[in-house]
Amino acid sequence: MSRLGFLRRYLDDAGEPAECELCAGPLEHEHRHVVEVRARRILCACDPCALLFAGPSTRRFRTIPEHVRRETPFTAQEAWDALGLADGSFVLFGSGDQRWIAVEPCATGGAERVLDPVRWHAVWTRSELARAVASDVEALIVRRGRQVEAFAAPVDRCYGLTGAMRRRWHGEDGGADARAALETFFEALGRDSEPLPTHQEQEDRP
Amino acid sequence: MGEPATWLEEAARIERLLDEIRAVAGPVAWLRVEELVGSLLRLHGHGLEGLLGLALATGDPGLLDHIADHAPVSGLLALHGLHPMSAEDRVRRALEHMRPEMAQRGVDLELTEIAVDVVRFRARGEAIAAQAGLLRRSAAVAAEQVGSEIDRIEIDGVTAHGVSGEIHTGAAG
Repeated sequence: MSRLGFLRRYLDDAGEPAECELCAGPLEHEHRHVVEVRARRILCACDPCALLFAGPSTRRFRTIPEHVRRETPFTAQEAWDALGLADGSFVLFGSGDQRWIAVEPCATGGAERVLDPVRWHAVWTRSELARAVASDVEALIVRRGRQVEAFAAPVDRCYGLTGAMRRRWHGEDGGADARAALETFFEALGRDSEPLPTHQEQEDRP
Repeated sequence: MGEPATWLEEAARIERLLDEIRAVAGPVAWLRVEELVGSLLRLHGHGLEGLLGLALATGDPGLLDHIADHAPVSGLLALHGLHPMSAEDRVRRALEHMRPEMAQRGVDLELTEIAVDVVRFRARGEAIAAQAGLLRRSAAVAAEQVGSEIDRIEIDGVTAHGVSGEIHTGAAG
């Protein structure tokens, strides 16, 4: 309404719109997100819109799933390490530009990196979960610990992690606060996850 | 209210640019844009807050009126939550300015409520149905004084006369 009112969301840390970005209908505080595939843009969606774009056949918009799949232990750990990504990084396939992209947490948010195809292929061939990650709406993210685990996680949650780490970032490597945000994220992700059913590969990609 | 066009044009330009960037930027770039815009606003907000303190310290009795009458100053202070006059008083003041024109056409508008996303008015007078357009425009101008995003403006008397009383501004979001 107000001619300056549109700026309010940048001042409040709310950051999220009050209405569905697809149909302008009312939006619950807890709501789903839809990816606009070509722009790799994440939009807030009301339940009817989320349902509408939930099928795998929709091309322009795709609803981000809620389920999290887990591979324990992660079978491509060495190949993943060879990518040289910082902890908290995630990898997704953008079908708009047909390539695998890594997002690394950093002081200014996230840094996007295009992956070396040969190195990524090594991960892809060794991990069934890496092959099962759905294009655009899911990302592969790896948790280090006594046992290395990998998750096929909803991309909205992954970008949420990037934002949480950025807000707590200190120094070169993020420091203890950013690390704590990462731990909190993985604990919740672990709780919500289910083991990847064997021999259920969704998509075939190089 | 005599708003300088350049100020409004600048606001519209920022809104358009942000929409355009949002449409082409990936999530990572957009995170930074959001942070940058917030940071620039807060920087200017600090300046405004200091300046307001200096102005108030002069003890000028007409200061509040001067601020409320200055559209860009008033709008920016409201945006930053710094306005020394309450939102209700600002809306009522704006209505006061428009009252003569409304009276001439046989209507009047009164503020009844400012809620989170809606501002409610009551319309009075003989010519409500005929002057629905004027009432809506006046209500929109007055509600703008709130300074945050208002989804809806409701005018009670106008609904009662069979004219839709709701204005969906369409600018929110």
